[in-house]
Amino acid sequence: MTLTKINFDKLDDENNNNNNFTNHAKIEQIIKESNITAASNEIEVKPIKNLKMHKPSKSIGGNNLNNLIESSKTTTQQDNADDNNNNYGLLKKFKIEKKIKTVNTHIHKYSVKSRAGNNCDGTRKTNQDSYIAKPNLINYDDYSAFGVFDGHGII
Amino acid sequence: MCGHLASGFIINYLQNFLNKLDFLKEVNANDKNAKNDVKEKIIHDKLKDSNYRILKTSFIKCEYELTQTNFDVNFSGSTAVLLIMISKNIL
Repeated sequence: MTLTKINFDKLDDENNNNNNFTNHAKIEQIIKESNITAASNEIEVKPIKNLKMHKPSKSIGGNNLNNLIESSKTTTQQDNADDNNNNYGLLKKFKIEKKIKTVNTHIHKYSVKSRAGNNCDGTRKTNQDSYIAKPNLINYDDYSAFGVFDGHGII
Repeated sequence: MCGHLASGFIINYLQNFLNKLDFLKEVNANDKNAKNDVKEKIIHDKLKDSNYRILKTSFIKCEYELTQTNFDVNFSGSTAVLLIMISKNIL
């Protein structure tokens, strides 16, 4: 990490001696040469590490669909940063397994079991199911979410 | 074979979406000491007012985001069954 500092008071003195540039033009020239993107009396430029930008949704369909998508945005800026950390598409949490847990809420036990079906010739199909089992939604004991998602596709 | 990718994407997306339902957080913050029955009534009223739009849009948005992935969604998909509970009652 490198810091770049420019004292623009010195620039004023230089401009008084040399009228080839106005103060504004001189500043712009120095900024362009040093790849600085901000200007003030004393600039301190720090490279930003781990800069995360929220990827906006592309517009599809009619305005109604876009309005619905926009109205469903209940995320904050911090939440958007968390979204990028979670990486929905990477399937880090993807598991198909039998699980029995004991939790300290009104739901005492829950279990998940998934089983692949059979083809016509008796062979076993590939299991493509997923599930949600969240006894504590939103970090509160009162809300729970359970779901089964029966994945299907060509092999 | 993308059915497992589609269903895996959906669970990750919906989990994160459901964790950000602001109106549920508001109910918890404003009526922290309220009984569960009162909380359920407030939430049901809010959902009825919006015609359960929040839950519908969560699926609409999830479907849209799924089409933006590289999965072969023309021949693959997932049948979703989701259950949300407040206290001991199904929403």
